Amino acid sequence: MSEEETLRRLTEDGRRLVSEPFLKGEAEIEQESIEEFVEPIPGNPTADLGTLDDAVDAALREYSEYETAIDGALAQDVHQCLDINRRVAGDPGLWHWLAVVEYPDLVRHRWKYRSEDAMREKFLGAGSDLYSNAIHRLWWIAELTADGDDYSLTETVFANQTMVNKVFDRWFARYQPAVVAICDELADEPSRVIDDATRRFNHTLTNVQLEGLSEEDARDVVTQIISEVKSE
Amino acid sequence: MGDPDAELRLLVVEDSNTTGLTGGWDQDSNYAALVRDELYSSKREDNAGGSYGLGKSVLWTFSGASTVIFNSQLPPGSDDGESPRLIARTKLPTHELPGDDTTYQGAGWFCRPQHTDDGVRPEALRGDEASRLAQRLQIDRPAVSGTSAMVVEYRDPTRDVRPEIDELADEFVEASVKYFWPAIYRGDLRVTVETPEETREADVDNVPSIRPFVESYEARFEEGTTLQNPGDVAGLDIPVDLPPRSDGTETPDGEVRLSSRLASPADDDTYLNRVALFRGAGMVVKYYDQNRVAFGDRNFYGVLACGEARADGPATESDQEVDRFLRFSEPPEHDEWESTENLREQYQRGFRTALDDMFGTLRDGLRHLISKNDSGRDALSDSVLNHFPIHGTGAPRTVSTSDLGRIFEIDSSSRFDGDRWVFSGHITSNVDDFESWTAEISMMGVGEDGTRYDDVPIESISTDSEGVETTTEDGTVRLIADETSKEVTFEGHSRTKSESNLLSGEVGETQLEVRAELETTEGDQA
Repeated sequence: MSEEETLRRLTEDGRRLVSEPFLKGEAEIEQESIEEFVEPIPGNPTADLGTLDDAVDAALREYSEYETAIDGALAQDVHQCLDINRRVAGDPGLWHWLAVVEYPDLVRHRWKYRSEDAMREKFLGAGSDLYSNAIHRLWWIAELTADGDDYSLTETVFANQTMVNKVFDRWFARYQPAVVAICDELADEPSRVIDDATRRFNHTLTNVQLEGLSEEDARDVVTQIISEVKSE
Repeated sequence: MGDPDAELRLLVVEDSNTTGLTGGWDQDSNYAALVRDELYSSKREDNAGGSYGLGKSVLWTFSGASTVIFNSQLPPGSDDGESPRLIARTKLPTHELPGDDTTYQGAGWFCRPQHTDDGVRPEALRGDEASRLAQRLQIDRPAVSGTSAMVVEYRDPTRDVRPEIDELADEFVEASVKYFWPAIYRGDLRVTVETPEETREADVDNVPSIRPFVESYEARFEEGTTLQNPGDVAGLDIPVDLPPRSDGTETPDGEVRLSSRLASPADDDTYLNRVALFRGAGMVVKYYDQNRVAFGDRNFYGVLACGEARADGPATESDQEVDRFLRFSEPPEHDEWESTENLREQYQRGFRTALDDMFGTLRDGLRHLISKNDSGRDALSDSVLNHFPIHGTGAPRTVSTSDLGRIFEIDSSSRFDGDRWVFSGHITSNVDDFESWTAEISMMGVGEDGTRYDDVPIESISTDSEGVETTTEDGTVRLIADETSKEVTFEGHSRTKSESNLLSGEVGETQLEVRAELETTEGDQA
C-alpha cells in the first residue's frame, strides 16, 4: 500500500496562473510560483496519489490522445484513491489543484484543445458543474453510479459518451436514485433514445418532485418514457 | 520591543490632489466639518461624494485611543494661512484625574489654545512648526494639497483577534477594489496601501471576485442583447423617469446602463448573480442580489452604471440629474438607493415610484439578457417587449425612438386540460395609426433546469374579430390584423396528446410565446 498524501486545493487567485499557453500545453507552471496559491483543505483529506499516478501513467501509455475510453479506464481509480466525502468533493479548489498541478498532462491527453473557454472548463470547472472539470467528472460520475465496490454501472456509463453528456450535464444528475435508474435502463439503448428519453425525463420533472422519487419510482418513469420514445 | 502586542499601530489615511482642510473654525468649512463637527458634512455642492459626513466618525471608532491627528496641505493660493495645518482631537468619555477635582468632558485637543470672546478655542499648528511636529509624529506628507488623518492605535472594534499588518494591508486593498473599482478603473482614483515592508497598489485586475464586474462594465455598450456563451456581455438602457425638483424645476428623462456578463465556471463566484450599483462617484453602493433571476446554469454578473458613470464621455444633463437624484437617495451609510428624507426635500412626489420603476425594469432587463435564446427565436417576455427598444437583433421592435412607449398590451394564460393545452389571450395595440399588425403565437416545453425545447404544436385558434386572419403552420399560429382591429381576443388549443400521463415526459411546464409586430402608416416597422 502506498503512502497516503494530503490533498490540497488551488486558491481562487491561483486560477490566474492558468494561461492560454498552459491550456495548450505550450507552457508549464513552475512549482515555486504555484506554491503560494496552494493551501490545505479543512479536515486534511488524504489520497493514495502514488497508486493514482501509476494508473494515470498507464492510461497515458495505453490510450492514444483524445480517446474517450480514458474516462472509463480511470474513473474507478480516481474514485477509490481519493479518500474524500461529497462535501470535500464539492470544493472546486481541490479539482483545480488535481487538474492544474497534479495531472495537467492527463487533462490535455484526454481533451483536445478546441477553444480557450472549453479547455479552461476542463481545468477550472467543478463546483456545481458535474460535467466540465476533467477529473471532477470522473469522481462524481463514479460516486453516483458505483454500488459499493461494484463499478459496473460506472463502466457502462463511460462506455457511452452520449449517456455521459445527456445525463450528467443536466440538473437531475445530482440525485443518485434517478441517476442509477436512468443509466441502468438506458444502458443498451441507441443514442436517439437516450437523447429523447433524457429530454423527456427533464420535462417530466417540472411535474414531479425529483427528490420525492425512489429509485423504483424513477425506474418506472424512465421505462415508461423509453417505451413511448421507441413507439414513436 | 519585539512583542507584536506591544506595538502602537498607526494607520495614516492620506489623500492627494484634494481640497485639504480649508476654511476657519467659525465657518461652514471643510476644516470645521471634519475637525469640529459631529455627523455633519459641508459638502453641499451637487457633485459631492456623500451628503452626510458619517464617514469621518469611523476614524475615531477605529482608534483604540479615540484619537485622530490631521495634517493638511492647503491648495496653492488658499487664503487660510500657512501650510501645513496640524491638529489632533481625542474623544473621551467624561472623566476626572486623580488629585484633581475638575470633571473633564467631551473633546481633548492637541493644538494651540486661543483665547477668544467665546472662550478658549483650539487652533491648528501651522507652517514649519507643524511640519517638524508632523515628521516626529510620522504624519508628514508630500507638499501637494490634501489631508492626512492618523488613527492612533488602529484596531477594529468588531474583531477579537488583532490581525497581522500584511493581512490588514491585503484586506484594505481588497476592500478598496471591491467598493471603488469603478473610480479606479476610470482613472479617477488611485489607492496604494503601504506597510513598513512594501507598497501595494489596488488594481482592479488583482481581485478575482471583482474582475467579472469590471469586464461587464468595460463592454456595457456591446451590441446584441442576449448572452450565449460564458463571458459574453450585453447591455440595455434602463429608462429613469425622475419627478420635478421640489422648486418645480422639471427634470429631464434619463436612462442608466445595465450590462450583464454570463458567468463561466472559471470565474470567482463570491458575488455571483449580483448587480453592482454605482453612479458618478465611482463607489459601488451595493452588490444587489438578483439570484432569483438566474436559473439553471444561467448565472451572471451585472453592472448598473448610473448618472455620470453611465457613459465614458462628458455627462449629459440627464446623467447629471440622475446622479443628483441617486445621491439624495443614499442613506448615511451610502449602501442603498431608497426613499430618503433628502429625496423628500429635494424632489416633488414620485421619487419613490421612480426608484421602484428603475429597479423593476432592471429585473426585467436582466431576465431578458440572461434568458436562453434557442435557435435565434426571440423569447422576449411581454413585460420586456413593452419596456425596451431592441436594436439590431432582427427583433420586431426596430423603432429608433424610445419614447414610443408600449406598442402592445398583451395578456395571456394557458393550462393543461385533460389531454391538451388550452390557452387564451388578448392583444391591444396602443398605437392608433397603423396599417396592420401581425402576431405569432407558439408554445414550447421547458425542462426542470429552464432549458427550452420542442414546440408544442398548436392545433387550432379562434379570434373574436373579423378583421383578423389566422394561419397555422407547423404548430405555430400567425394572426394578421387589418387597420380596423385595434384589439383582438384569441383562444385556442394544442394538439391532443395521445398519452396524457404526467410521467410520460410529454406533459410538463410549457411556455406560451406571443410576438407582435406593427406596420405603421409611415411604413416603419414597429
